[in-house]
Amino acid sequence: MPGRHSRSWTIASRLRRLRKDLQDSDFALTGHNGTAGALGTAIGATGVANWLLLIGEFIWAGIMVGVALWFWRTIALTGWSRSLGNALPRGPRRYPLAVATNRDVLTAAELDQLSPSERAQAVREGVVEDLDQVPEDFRRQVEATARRLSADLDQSVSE
Amino acid sequence: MTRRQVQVGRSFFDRLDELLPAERTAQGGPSATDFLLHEVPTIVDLLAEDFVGTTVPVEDAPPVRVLITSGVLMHLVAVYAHLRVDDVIEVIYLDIDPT
Repeated sequence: MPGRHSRSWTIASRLRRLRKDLQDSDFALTGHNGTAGALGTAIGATGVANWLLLIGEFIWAGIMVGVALWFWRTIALTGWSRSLGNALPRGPRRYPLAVATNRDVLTAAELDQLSPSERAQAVREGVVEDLDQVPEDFRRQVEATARRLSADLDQSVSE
Repeated sequence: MTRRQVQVGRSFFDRLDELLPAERTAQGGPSATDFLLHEVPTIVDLLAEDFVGTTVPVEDAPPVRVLITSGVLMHLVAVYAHLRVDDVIEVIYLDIDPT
């Protein structure tokens, strides 16, 4: 019945409702004014409100998708999605290496926001003074590589 | 303290190309160029200013010393260098902690 609309908020149900309205309408496509005229009359008489609601729902859905994408992109950039309590450092690190290695590093795009002096300071402050400060897996890798390089140097000198 | 001259060997750049892509990743991950622009100059400065003080020795690898830093792009970076007889520091290799 024209003017009586479902309260459903889903687009699918709105489409089903619209189709049903068109089929049940007194001005259905089998009317006497030809197909085009009947369609226009049917839509005009029974579907305008539904069409407007449908368009509104599409716009609303688009806005919600946009908001969701913006929110997702924002939290992905700042690392909140990986650890809500692990906020992005907004500047060079000022904490011990043991802490630094457990934090998310900056992406290259985020790094562009730092000044050259801030970047340099972060690198300087992160310098390790003892191999024991380095996580075991990486320390083993470093030691093995250094020994291999040392052997290569010795060999090149002897040659 | 006098600054020493630092030279970066070809093996370092070959290794860098192995470890990092030429372009930034879609997720904003660093490229080899980012590393060269943002971290290597400071690392070279550190080596030039105080080679012994900023590097650590490795047992059974006396000529080679390693500068390890957390940097800003990676969790840990290890730069391998040695002091040549002409008092020039040569940077020869690189490792990046993948974790």
